[in-house]
Amino acid sequence: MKRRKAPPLYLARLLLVLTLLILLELAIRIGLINRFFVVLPSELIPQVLRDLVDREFLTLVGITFYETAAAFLFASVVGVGIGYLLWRSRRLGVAYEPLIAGLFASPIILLYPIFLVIFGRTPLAIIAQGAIFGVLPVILFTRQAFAGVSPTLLKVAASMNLSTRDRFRYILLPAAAPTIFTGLRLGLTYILIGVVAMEYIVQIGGLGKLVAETSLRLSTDELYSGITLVVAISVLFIYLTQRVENAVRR
Amino acid sequence: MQSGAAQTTAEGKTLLKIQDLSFRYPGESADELGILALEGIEVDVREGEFVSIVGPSGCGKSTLLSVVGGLVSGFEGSVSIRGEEVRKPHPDIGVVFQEDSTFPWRNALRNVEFGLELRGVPKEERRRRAQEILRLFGLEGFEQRFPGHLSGGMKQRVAIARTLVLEPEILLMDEPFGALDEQTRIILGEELLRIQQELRQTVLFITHNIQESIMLSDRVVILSARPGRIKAVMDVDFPRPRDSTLISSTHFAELVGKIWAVLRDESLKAFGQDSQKKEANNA
Repeated sequence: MKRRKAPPLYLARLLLVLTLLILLELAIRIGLINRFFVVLPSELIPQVLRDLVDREFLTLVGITFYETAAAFLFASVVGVGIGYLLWRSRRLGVAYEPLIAGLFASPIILLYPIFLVIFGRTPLAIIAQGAIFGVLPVILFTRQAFAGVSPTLLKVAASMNLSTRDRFRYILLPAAAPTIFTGLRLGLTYILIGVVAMEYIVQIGGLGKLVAETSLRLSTDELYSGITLVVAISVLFIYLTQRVENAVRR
Repeated sequence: MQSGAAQTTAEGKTLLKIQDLSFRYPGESADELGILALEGIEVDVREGEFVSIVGPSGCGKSTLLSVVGGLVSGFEGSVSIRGEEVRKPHPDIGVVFQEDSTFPWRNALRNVEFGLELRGVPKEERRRRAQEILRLFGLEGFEQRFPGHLSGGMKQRVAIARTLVLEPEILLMDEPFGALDEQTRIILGEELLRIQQELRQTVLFITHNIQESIMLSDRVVILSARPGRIKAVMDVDFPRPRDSTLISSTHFAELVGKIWAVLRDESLKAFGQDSQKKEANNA
């Protein structure tokens, strides 16, 4: 009963991206989209490749990557920790969850002047902004994740006399992982928005600053190259979280 | 039929002994008495014996199982296995629950390996033992499937296999087929019979299904409506090995009738308790 092997998923993904790029190329070439606003994919790709060997450009990629990674690390560790606490202590959870949910729904990005005042025009201000922005969904989803673990699975753990550590590692964590990681991916999205937007607004740091400058100079190809690399960073982080999730759910 | 305590009648060493067991749920406040769930329960289960506990809903059947499984504390009386008091989950006692308890993130094989893994059994050996027991449960070829891709009956078989692979002296089952449809239930019951006979497994089985209790058991203990007391104990004298064709015999029907005669009043009482509770809630 052997099924024919399906082609690998990444091929399907690659195919979709290529098709969209070709459609975009066509749309620009026949004048549906103004060449002044959107760069031709056939010009973008060489530009990205050129930029990737340009030291100055790579430094900008590195800065954005570092800021995102630092903010994400903070949001993951602190967010999962607080989320777990809010679940463990029902009183704390009931008391604080609405506050965090309220904060999550508010436009925290507008707080950026505060971070500038505290940390100055440094990457630290950007990391702080991103981390605060990203930690909220992680907390909310983590609490939700642990609260949603089936009581039957906990009964199984009890009947097998699992130690607290084993119960956490082998039952709670893998059972809660899908929801926790949904929170982490959402947090990552917010962090990337926060980091790049802050770089853009205050003109410091990495790719956000580059995007701001090149758009002012109307240098479309460089602008899109910057955006492409922001997307690449996002894809890389999502891929890494997926790997960690798979490892946890073993 | 004997009434009162469920004492050992035939030869065979007593494995599990429940003596004068009472359990009261904690009240809402310190000075308020909670609901009395079980009172004066006495059951002896011999090695290799299959004993069922039947009773009306809410009579404390599942509570009894939680007490024996060491999952709740604060009861009166004693529960012992080979003379050793049970106060917390005991490695010689395996529990199977009514709801789906398989781990969705592990395939069937790794679900079954779970307990062995925690006990530090080497990989090759635990794989072999898990495969063996899955074969016994007719799950050969499904080892790599995740629970999401198994039917309800198969999942429950995986859960039972996961408990049995640890070779517990006694298997506690809390309405393990309760969530399944009637046909699957009979088939799985038959399968459990076959496996129990093959492994000579001692089983304490909770159910509200009279037919199921007769088909599987050597003895049926009937509990009263809340608080659960032993109302009657009935020996089931069908020879083993048995299978589900028993259901059509007249003696089977007789036994069903006898148990129902005892259970009927209690079920009505439980029904009354339920509607009273609902009325009180609505008031």
